[in-house]
Amino acid sequence: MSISAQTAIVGIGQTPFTRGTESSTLELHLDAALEAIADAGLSPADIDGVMPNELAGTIAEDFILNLGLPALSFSSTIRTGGASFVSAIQSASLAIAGGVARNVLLVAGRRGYSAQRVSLTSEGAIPPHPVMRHVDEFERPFGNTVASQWFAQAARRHMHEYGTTSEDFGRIAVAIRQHANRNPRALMFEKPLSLEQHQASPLIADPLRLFDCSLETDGATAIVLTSTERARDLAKTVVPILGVGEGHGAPPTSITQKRDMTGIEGLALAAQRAYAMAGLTPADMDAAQIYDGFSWIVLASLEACGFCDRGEGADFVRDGRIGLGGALPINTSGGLLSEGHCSGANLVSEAVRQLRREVETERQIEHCERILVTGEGDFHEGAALVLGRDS
Amino acid sequence: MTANEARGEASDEIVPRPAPAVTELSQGFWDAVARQQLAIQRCTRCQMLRHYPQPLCPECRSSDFDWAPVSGRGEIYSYTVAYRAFHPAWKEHVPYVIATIELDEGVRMVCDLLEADPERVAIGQRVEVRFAELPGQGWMPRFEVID
Repeated sequence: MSISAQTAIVGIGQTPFTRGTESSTLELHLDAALEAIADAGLSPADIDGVMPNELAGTIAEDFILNLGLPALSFSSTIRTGGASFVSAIQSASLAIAGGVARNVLLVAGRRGYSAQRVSLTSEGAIPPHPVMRHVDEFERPFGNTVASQWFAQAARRHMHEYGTTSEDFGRIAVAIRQHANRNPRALMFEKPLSLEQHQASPLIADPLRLFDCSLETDGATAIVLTSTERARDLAKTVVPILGVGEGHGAPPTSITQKRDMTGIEGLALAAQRAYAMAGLTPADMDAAQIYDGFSWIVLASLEACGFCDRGEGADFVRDGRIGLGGALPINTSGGLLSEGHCSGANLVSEAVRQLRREVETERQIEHCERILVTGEGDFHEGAALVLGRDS
Repeated sequence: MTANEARGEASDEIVPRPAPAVTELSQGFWDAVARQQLAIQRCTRCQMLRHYPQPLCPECRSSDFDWAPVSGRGEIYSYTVAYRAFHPAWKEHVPYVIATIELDEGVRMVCDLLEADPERVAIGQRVEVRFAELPGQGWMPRFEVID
């Protein structure tokens, strides 16, 4: 039995993205959740499945307690960092298609600027993360302490093997910023970025510069999934899940230990599975929302998802191909680099808005019927999602 | 981290490097380091070296292992130059090189190369292990560029 198109996203909710908030992570989650449930035309009591996000540290009990969920029959949390949200869509779809739950709520994001800042490694800044135990023993004691330094080494090796340059990373950052400049919700809405400014920005972890890094953000995003059949009785344009997949690379201990750190193996596997489920190919995608924790991840993800061959990501991002109006517009909300880092959940909400035709006219993708959404987490783990549009 | 450091302001407080979270499984590695030797976990059934230490061999699923002495020589597989210290122990060292080192025996290790010139570091440079007793950490393997 295939679950292709058996489930759909029927509700999205989102707090504003800010750098400064009085709200706790849980309060942000509850705001987004209530909005998503209302957007779906459901009431909180209809929610019988919940998937809290690992990076936020919230738990199912928080939602039972605060939303007053009388009949929760499914709860689970995926532990693949930034890939968790898209992976959770696979699990939620299985739960719905298997009859375990009817309406599943997924929430992600955090008080990522005002409290849980990853750039400040003070104790308690981020929830405990068991997969980090090897890094804690063999890398952090040697000064390799944060994600920018880990991905920088993957980016450096990619440059060594394929001749990729910092300007190539810059083209990605600039294209995504131009999309944020059309999105009033984006943190960088009113801040244009040129390639020259990118090249002049300070190095954080060479070769990654300031504008290669995503934004520490306060905010949360929620979605509600249900069966496609039930979705057709609800208010909004149905956005069916045509394909979904997750993938894990080896070894899962650290990026430095990957047999080939220049490729995102887990995402390549996930994308193959998502395309196969959907019966589609990369050429069928009208746009992509690519997890962009760092600009290099976008370049490597385009390769992993089959939009170009290994080592050809730099050529692919030239000549406006990834911009609105190009052959494959990416990250049309501004993504994690320029809209806000909401643990990748804002890439999903943007895809839904595009497919529903709910975005500002100036950033609506033309003839947009199918969008690929990706997640990348921990050490090149991956998840991929192909969303469609019920006509 | 103090509030001053969180804001990137100067502080006279010396923060030690974080100690490795040694486990029963990895004790053999660190015991060897304390003797100023580099030894890597080896499957005694199929002889595969594995780092970081783990209970089962992913090739043959054997739980039998010993600690194999290795040359301590290898090359830089990749690196970054950290221009910001995200841990206060490295605040005085920026910019500093963090290298992923591939030992001649094939396993990889990570080390900060505080003596290396960030302008000259390159993939493929030869490195060799040294040992040093560091505040807060005890005996640690260190690597030096020998090209």
